[in-house]
Amino acid sequence: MMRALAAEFSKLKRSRMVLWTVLVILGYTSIGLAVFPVIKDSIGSMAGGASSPVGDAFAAAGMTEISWETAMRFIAMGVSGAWGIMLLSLITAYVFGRELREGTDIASATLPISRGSFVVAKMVVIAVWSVGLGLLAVAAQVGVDAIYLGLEGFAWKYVLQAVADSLLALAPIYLTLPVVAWLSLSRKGYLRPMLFALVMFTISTSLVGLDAAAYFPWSMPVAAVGVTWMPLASELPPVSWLIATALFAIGLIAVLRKVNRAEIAA
Amino acid sequence: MPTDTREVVIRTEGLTKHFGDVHAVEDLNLTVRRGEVYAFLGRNGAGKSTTIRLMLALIKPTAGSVEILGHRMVPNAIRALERIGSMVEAAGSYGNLTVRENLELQRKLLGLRRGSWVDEAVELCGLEEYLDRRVDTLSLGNKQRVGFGRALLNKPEVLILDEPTNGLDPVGIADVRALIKRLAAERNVTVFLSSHILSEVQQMADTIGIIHNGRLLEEIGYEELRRRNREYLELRVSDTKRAAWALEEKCGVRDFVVIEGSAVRVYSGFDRAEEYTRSLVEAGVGIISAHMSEENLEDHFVKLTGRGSGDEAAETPAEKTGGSQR
Repeated sequence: MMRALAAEFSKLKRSRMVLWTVLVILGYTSIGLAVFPVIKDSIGSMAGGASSPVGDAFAAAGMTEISWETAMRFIAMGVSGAWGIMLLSLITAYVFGRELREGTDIASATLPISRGSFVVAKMVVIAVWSVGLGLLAVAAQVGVDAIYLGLEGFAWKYVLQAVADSLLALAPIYLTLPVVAWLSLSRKGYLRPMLFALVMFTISTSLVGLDAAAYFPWSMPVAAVGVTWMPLASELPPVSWLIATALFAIGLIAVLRKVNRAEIAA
Repeated sequence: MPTDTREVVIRTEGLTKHFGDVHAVEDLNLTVRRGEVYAFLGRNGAGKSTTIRLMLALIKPTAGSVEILGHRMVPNAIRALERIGSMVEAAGSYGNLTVRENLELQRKLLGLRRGSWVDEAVELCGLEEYLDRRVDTLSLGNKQRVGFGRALLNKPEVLILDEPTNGLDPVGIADVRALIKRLAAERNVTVFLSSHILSEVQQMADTIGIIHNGRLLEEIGYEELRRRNREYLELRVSDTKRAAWALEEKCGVRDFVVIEGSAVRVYSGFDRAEEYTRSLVEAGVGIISAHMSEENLEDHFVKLTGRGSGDEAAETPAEKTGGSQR
């Protein structure tokens, strides 16, 4: 197992996909510099008696000013409403699908290591990659906030809360990824898994503000931490985690069955 | 022929693979013994690669079984795979890694100690000058070398190679051929390889299995094939009908055939060649040429599989090097 794990990390060396995902996070976070003034105006106009949809939503979430505390909440909402599903699905499609596209799946299947070990190792790689991106998003947001707000009002507790919220948003998405992995193994290329991710992303955003969001694994992050245009968060009930964990287990079993019974080079 | 007492290393029994209506491999029974170089010869689409995939449990047989080194080949046949080196398709290396990194990755995956294993594979495959180049910048032939190097890393008892010289230049082909012969001779490595290149097979195989339309048509030792192939005197003549009459009536020859209306092949009585030509001239037959030939593997292959579309093995002029004309 450790051999497979070490190998899976080695395979990422010089991989452009790592660079691209980092750039997506940095690019998305830096948009905050342009968005904050707009949000500040909406909040400001609401304080002046006017009403705006964004301002109303933020007021409902208790975000009545742009401060370190509120600004750091945008990170987890970025995971749930922007890059989480699509980027993590892309990573999964890459980690599993590249082997088929490059023909290295055959070489892996002829090694004296169980095929299941590679699946588990890949899922660990995806987990580390996902958490890494979450932490990068937090670090980048600290930079953006420092530029926009200065260091006045900064506190580590906001950073820690942002890390916790990001992980809370990433966790249900991660639990859906074996389904993407299964799709990646079923067909070469990224198209099918990414189309699937896009559909799930669309459904998840359409459930924003609805109770049902807490029971559909792809929209659980939306329910748990909110999204930038509806920053209302609520605690996920235990049954939500049960559903997401069941989906993960079913997906993983399907992937393991796929690789163990596969017509790898048919 | 004396019975071969060497241990059977690869055995397939009733191996069959259907893809829907396509019968890729049909009831394949073959045995490969320790230290043997077994070449699986067939046209494109004959079922060679499918057989190799079945052997490595990359695909599931419709029926039958494969046993290598006493282990039934099913997915995760770890004990067998520890002792097998293989190269399938364009070798499956990671393009974003250098040659050295690919070999190191393989070494780690195989759980081998650092050091001589990689160095030896590098030397055997002539990869010294490419070690620090990314694999995706290499030619197909050199990618093939990297794949070969990876297959050799665990010092396998059995090497299974799908079209191992694919994409190699003539020097590379000769190197691989020499390496395979050396591995078999010096290390007693059993080699099973597929090829559609006759000259390649002729020069290195101990046993040749000819596959066509998924069926093993013949499994013969190369020496046996050479014995079976017959020498003949080929006479290219102006009138084959008259030549046939002269040979039969004047010389009493029965063991001959007329080839495509332009030549006559006589399979016996070569010491009477002068008499044959004299008789033909006396009968008014013009002799354009006369020479001794040997029916070679290519002829044999074509005879077995017939000519047709996709018949690269029989039609590619560059591969027609097997004939021994005198």
